Parts: sequence; structure tokens; C-alpha cells
Amino acid sequence: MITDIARRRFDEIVPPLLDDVYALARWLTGDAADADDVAQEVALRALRALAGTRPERPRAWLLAITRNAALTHLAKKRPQALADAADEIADDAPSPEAALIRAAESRAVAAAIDALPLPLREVLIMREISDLSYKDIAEAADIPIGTVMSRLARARAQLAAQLGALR
Amino acid sequence: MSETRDLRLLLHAFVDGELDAAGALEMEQALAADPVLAAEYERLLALRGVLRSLPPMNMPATSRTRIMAQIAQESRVSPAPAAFVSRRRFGRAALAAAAASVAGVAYLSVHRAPDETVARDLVHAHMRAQISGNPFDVASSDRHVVKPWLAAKIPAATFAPDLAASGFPLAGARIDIAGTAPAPTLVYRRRQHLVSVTQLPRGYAPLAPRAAVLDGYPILRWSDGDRDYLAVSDIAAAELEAFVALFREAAAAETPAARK
Repeated sequence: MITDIARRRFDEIVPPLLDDVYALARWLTGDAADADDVAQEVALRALRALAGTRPERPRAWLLAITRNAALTHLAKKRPQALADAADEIADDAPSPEAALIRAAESRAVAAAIDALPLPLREVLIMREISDLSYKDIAEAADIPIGTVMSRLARARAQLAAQLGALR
Repeated sequence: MSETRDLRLLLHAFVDGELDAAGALEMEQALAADPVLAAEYERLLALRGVLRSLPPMNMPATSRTRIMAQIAQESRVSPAPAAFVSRRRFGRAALAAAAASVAGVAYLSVHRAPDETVARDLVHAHMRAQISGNPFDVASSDRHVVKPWLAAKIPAATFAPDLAASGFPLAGARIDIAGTAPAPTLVYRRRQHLVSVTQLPRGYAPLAPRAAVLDGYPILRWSDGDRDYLAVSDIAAAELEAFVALFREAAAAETPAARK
């Protein structure tokens, strides 16, 4: 039963965060229609959860729901997207100059992000786009903080190498 | 893990603001002493700059409206398993259902207190404006165009401050119906979002701003003594409050003679 309390909490917490939910879902799924479906699923999960709980830090809470809904969505729709294991990635690609990175265009950056394997991409997006702390990312992705740090470092190294290789 | 790799990981934590004061100080000293590390730092800052300047991925207004309509529907009925199945079919083609649901809310509002009805009218006018792609009757960022246009339609003079310098450029104006009376609504822009500010006859709003959330949209009501206002938007409530503070500041600065 969806109570009035759940609806009141929802109205207070969720609508101002919908852009954040959408952006995370959009970057994780790489597709506008998928992001729409995920955001809708997130809203419903949030409404149900809010009947029984009032999250202490609503933004981290809602974005964790978003991350999980996005991965569930991907697992159903594009199982191969989840197949890449983070550990199979070669490290220490050559690093370009900072100026070269700075010159990259948005479209190239977006393509380079999309090319990252999901375990690296999700950590990078949650940090750089969603602006979550290491602790929040660790909780959302259910990995230790040390893993958050090493994946983030790899994601950035790969991204920098990709952008450097464009020229 | 070698010491160099360790330091490199800590550099990320430094860039991400995850080091405590002592750790940050140590890192600053290491950066000053180690040009290779400093180059890596530059690289990370460049990458951050590039990522932060990506265009924002904001939720399209139609998606937002569909979600809020569906939540309104879910809140009214208890979710039986059948509802769970049918909602998966609530796809992109269901805008008609969303519209019907919104209409249902409007119908219920007839039985509420009059000022609540007015607020709801204005929230729905804002929603409709977002979906239609025609958020105003007159599109202009020039208040000297907007004010005469409104003056020709509505007897009361409208106060239209210029807030472009503060990040809220004027986009246009429209006439909304508040209860049964026409009311001037100014539309300001904030990034991809719109803020609708409606001027109402005295008696609708408290003197001090009062915030609420109506159908998922943050609203603020306030009065400057002569006129009452209601602002509604899909930006965060805190941002709407900042907007209203700017609007009131501009109103206070404007002398009565200049208000015409």
C-alpha cells in the first residue's frame, strides 16, 4: 500500500533529483530511451521504499537505486554489456600531455567514456558526473573503497590515453 | 603495490577532495618535489575540466511529466501484482494516459481550499507549458517588450525584473487562469529549465515566502504587500528559493514610481 507519507516524502525528495537520476542512467546505459525506462523504474522503487524509510542522505540513496536499476536493465537488455570484467584491462597505457586532453571535444569525450568497460565507467560517472563520494560509490556499487580508488584511477588513465590517441 | 603507485592512487583521492588536511598537505609537498607526479596532477585536472564541461544530460520535460503522472496514479491505488505488470507497458505511447491522470488531479482539486486550487492551476499551467514546447504567449528576453504586452491584456501593471545577470534570463510571458481570473505569468530560464512566476491579486500568499511541493513541483508563495506571487519550477527547491530571493531583492530596489 502506498501511503500518504510515502507520497509526501517522494514529492519532497525525488523531483528535484530527477535530472541527476536521468544523467546517471543516461551515461550508464548510453541510450536515451533506456535512461527513460530506468528513471521510471527508479521513481517507482523509491516510492515503495519511502513507505518504510526516510533516507538520511537522499541523493546518495536515490543514485544508488539508479545505479542498480540501470545495471539490472542492462543485464536484461544487453547482457554482453556486463561481460567485460574490470580486471582484464591492461593498465599503464601512454599518458598524453594535459593540453592534449584539454583540447578534446565533447563528442570525443562522450565516445571515450562509452568505450570504457562498465565496471570502470560506472565508477567514473558516479564520481565525475554524479559527484558522489568514494564512500557513496562503494556503497552503491557494493565494492570496497580501495576498489573504487583503483578502478577510478584506471578509468581516468584509459580515458586520458584515448583522448591523447585522437591526435 | 609500489610506493609510486600508492602515491598515484592518493593523487586521485587528492583531486577528489577525499584526503584529510594532513594528507592533502603531504600531497602538496610531494607535488612540489616531484615533476612526474605534478604532470600527472595536471593531466587529472585537465581530464576533470573536460568531463565537467560536458553538456548536462537533463531529463526531458515529457519524461518528467510521465513519471509524475505515474507516481500520482500509483499513490492512489494500492499496487497489486497486476498493476506491476501493466506498468511495464506504460511506455512512451502513454502520454495520453498521463494527461488523463493529470486531469483527474485537477478535478479533485475542485474540492480543496480556493488558494490550493489556484496553486494547482498554476502548477498545471507550468506543466502544460513545458510539454507543449510553447511555454509563453510572447517570447522575449526584453522586459520592455513583455510588460507592454501584458499591460495590453491585463489591467494591473506587472513587475518584471531583469535577473539575467544572476543566471535567470527572462524568456517570455503568458496569461494563466488562476481560479477564474486571468493572471500574468513571467517565464524565466535556468539552464534547460523554466521558472514560472505568476502575479496574483492580494490575498493568496503570506507575506514571508512559504515553500511547498505540489504534484512533485516545488512552489513558493510570497507577497510584497501590494501584490502576491507564486513561483513554480522543476529546478531544485533551493534554487527556486534563490530565484525568489533575487526577485524580491529586485522588487525592493525598484521605487514605487518606477513600477509602472
